[in-house]
Amino acid sequence: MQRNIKIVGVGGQGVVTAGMAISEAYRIEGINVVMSEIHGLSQRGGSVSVDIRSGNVHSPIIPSNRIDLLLAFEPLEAARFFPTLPAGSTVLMSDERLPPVWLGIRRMEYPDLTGKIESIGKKVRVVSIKAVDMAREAGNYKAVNTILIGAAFGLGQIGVKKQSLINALKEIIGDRGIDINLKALEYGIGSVSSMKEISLPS
Amino acid sequence: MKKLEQISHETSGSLFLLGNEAIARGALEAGVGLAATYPGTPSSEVGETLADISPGAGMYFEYSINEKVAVELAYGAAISGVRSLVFMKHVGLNVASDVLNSISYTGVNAGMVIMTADDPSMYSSQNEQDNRRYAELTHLPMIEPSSPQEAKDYLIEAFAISEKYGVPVLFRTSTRVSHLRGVVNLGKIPAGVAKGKFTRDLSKFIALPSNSYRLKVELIERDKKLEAESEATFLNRKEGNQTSKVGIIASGAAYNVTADAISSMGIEADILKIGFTNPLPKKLISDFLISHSKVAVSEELDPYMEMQVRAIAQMDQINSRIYGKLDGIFPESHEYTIDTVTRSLKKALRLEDEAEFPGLDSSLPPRPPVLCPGCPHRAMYYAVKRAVKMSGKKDIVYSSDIGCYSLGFFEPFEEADLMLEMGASIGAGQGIFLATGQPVISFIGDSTFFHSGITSLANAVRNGTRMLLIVLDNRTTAMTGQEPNPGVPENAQGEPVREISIESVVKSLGVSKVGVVDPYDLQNSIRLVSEYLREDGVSVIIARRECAILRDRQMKKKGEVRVYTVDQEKCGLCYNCVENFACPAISIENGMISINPSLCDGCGVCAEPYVCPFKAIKEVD
Repeated sequence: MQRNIKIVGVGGQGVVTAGMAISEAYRIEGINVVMSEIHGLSQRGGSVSVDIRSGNVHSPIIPSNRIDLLLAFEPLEAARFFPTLPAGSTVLMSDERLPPVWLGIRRMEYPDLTGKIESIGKKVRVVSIKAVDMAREAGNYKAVNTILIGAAFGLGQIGVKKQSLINALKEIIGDRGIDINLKALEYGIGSVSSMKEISLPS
Repeated sequence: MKKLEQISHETSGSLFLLGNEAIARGALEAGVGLAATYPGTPSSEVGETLADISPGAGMYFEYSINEKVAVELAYGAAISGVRSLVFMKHVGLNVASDVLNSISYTGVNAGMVIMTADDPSMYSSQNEQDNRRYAELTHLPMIEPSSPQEAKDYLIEAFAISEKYGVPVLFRTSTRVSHLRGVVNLGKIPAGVAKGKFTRDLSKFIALPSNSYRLKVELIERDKKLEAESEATFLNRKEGNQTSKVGIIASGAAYNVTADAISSMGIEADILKIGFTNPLPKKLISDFLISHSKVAVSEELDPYMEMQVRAIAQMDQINSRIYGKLDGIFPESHEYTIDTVTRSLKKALRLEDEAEFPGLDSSLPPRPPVLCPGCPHRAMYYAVKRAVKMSGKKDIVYSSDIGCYSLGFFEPFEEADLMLEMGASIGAGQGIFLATGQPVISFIGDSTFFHSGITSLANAVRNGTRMLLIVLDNRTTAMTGQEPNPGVPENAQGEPVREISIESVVKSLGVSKVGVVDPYDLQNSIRLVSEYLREDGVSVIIARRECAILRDRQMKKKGEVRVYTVDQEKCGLCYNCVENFACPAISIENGMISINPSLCDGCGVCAEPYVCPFKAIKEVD
């Protein structure tokens, strides 16, 4: 079975780490997995995306119209990819808004995305969570990536056992900070019941 | 880090590794004794990994001053019986090409592998050159992996081939191989690296005309032997349906997208995967052409294989239809994706093409790469812009260079009118002044200064020009991952080493006007730039302040947190901070200026009256 997960966000948010943790869980289960990332230039502040493909695949770049899950650390970054989503896919996003400097230079504010979300919501499921607040509650706002992983797992969007994710986090995070991250994973999984379902096409 | 320990020690099972980490692991398994590089994306993580794991493996690893020196170092080791690995980004090989063309003649004793990482689509590069051309040019064998597993395994084979034929081997990856993460099965690590011994061989290691005349003939003979190796090696393999009339010849990252495109299209095809790309296996290709009536060549960038495949077909009088770039079927620029290869194969096989898939939503505000919060370059660019405005000079030319500070090109700074390659800011700036008499401000980073700025500066001083050179010294090679450079007092392994003072170098070259400034100190920076802009000859300002990412790491260790906020009572809503300083932590929310505390780096430059004339920005207690 093939699964294509796209993770998007802003440089510095932990997008690559999230990708590594999910991929590691596949490896632990003996499932083939490849992941793409782009390095260099600015480390913080630019758009970042990571593609994860599992199953019988070679190339890490998700072809058009094949995203299963769009995991977004930031709403504007999620919205960029809306036109590429096939019907029946899922968007899980953190609601923390990070305005690009491009806006300030023009004395502009963060755009209202309601219309775009409503429109894409007609063909895909869109879920938004307060991932940053939850990460703070778990002990560190930087654990937002683990919150999102937990929530994606809770939605049945990753396709591995919970224990594999736990083991993967232990591999990727290491001993320091693992307690906060395991807590964040639980918070993420638990968030499913209280998630803001923006749209659920029937 | 746990991952690095595993790369160092695990000898069985698998790890999820980046292509570049797999290459570093391959170096351990191959028993490399010396490795060197100048950092460059997409090859940098090989160095980041080796910096950590080399001491435990008894391997010498250094960040060399530039790629040419790195290759010379590796050559010295390899002719002394020690296996060596040298790696760089594709344009790095341009810098090293002088030595490359000579060591191809002399050859080596122990294995020597030169890894070069191409960057199709130019994610972090100034051009899209195809470094397979260097294999053609130098007559060096070239090996190309497609996955992290192959990156490790083929590297080990590259050393074996290097030793079998006494020749350095080029090892070419691309962004989508170096930065592809995948599952890698590990092999054994040999215990320890033995010391080498240099044995004199005057008929070989002296590249004088009399020797080279003879060595050229031997080199042509070697090409023939290497071609026989290419026919037999496991690096070239057939897979897929051998009875299909459709054949595809593919290599590198293009192989990955082609294999996926075929399976998603549901077509039957035979694939000849080429891992040994110079010299190509002519007989294998000839047989493949004979057994398939339609053959597509799938390769990124130049039609390098395609031209040879067409030549083989002509020489062997094979009538199979060949598809590639020369007939317009495959794209000649940018990386291949499953989408582009699917489209090309459909065109070749005359299959119906589906509707276009929509791209990203371009109506949304863009988020290009920006200087990080707290970046000292932002402060310096701000200061320079202010000083230039005050000077009244309208025709200043900004000559920029390669590094994070290349981002000074973007708004609101726009302090880059030209940018070419490492070190060019000085030479090109000199040319512009000589041709126009316009004032020139050149920017160069500390690492780039050492890499190739010193010789240009010497030239500028010696032959005379008028130029203000600003060395943006952030105490690291920031863009590629914070590698140390000769201007800082520690080496790759974090051990203390001699630091080379930029101001001493500059003064010794004869620059009389040299100043050092902390870019966070806007007042002093503006004053110094204003003063130096009035100078006649070459003057140099060293803007010294460590990279914000390095500073963050140190502050985190100490548990220090500094954050700034806006006093809305005092804020005069002049918008100078967002319009002209453009820190990612500062934005406009509900009509008010707001600082995001989780992004704020605590540098405090925005609180300076030059940025906030209302003194509304202050540190949170």
